Amino acid sequence: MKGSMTCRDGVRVLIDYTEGVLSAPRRSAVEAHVGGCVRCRGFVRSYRETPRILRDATVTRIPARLQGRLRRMVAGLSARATLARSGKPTGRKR
Amino acid sequence: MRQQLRNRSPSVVPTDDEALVRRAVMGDHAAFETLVELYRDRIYGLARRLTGSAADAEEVLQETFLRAYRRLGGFRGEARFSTWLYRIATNAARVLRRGRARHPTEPLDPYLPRFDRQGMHAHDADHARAADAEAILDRGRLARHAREALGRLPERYRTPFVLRDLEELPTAEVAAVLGVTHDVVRQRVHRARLMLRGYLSHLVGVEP
Repeated sequence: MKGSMTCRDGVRVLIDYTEGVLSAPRRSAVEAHVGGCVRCRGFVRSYRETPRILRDATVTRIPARLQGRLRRMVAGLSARATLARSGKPTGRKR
Repeated sequence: MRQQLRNRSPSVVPTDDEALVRRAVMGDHAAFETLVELYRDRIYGLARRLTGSAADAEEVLQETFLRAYRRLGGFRGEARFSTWLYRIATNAARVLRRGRARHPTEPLDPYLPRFDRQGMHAHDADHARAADAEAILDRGRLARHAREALGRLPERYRTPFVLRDLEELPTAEVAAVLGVTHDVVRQRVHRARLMLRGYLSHLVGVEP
């Protein structure tokens, strides 16, 4: 990066900056810019928080009835495989 | 050659995936059932986030384990079992969404940050405000909008973002699931974060 950093330059490398993988000179350049730019300070904060907010807002638990349905499906596969090995008709359409 | 291990109930149950896979391939159904128990919650959560719908997530979940069961003999162990399973699930979700995509969704590109000619942020807004979305918005409304926003991300951004930032898989595993490079994953996750950050800003009444 040549000359002084802009907000656009900083946003381009934000994933590397927030995850601590920027080289030391580039990290210093970002910090120097962010230190003097209130808009970028706010931007960095909201950029860091966005994944967590989306993660927490979309947490779901598997419904109990679906657990039962899945268990029955897997048991059905097992039963068919057992029948297939025994040479008996499995009832599956070909 | 497959060994028949029907009706065996070993006293020692292997805890690592690869041992369970080996037993399942040899015909031990209890081992496959254990793998299903171990992964069903994660695959359901992933499917729910990728498809945005409980009904579609249910279909993806069942399809994933059905395909895994049928293809288990072909699992070579070149990738981790979880990687292999996530790949099946993301493919199932993509196929299902393609079939559902009758109406184009409004893209999230307008929520990318804007800059002036000098490369500075174009709006003199509170750029941190999106970080307070949980305090500002009703929980149910935020959840609804979050799912809607994920659905509006193009698939090439949504899937890596969901795998890495929401399911919290390491970048290397996301790259292996998607068959792309480490750098491609990071670029796509970055762009997804920018769009979603802007969308959250919009929800709380601030220009992105």
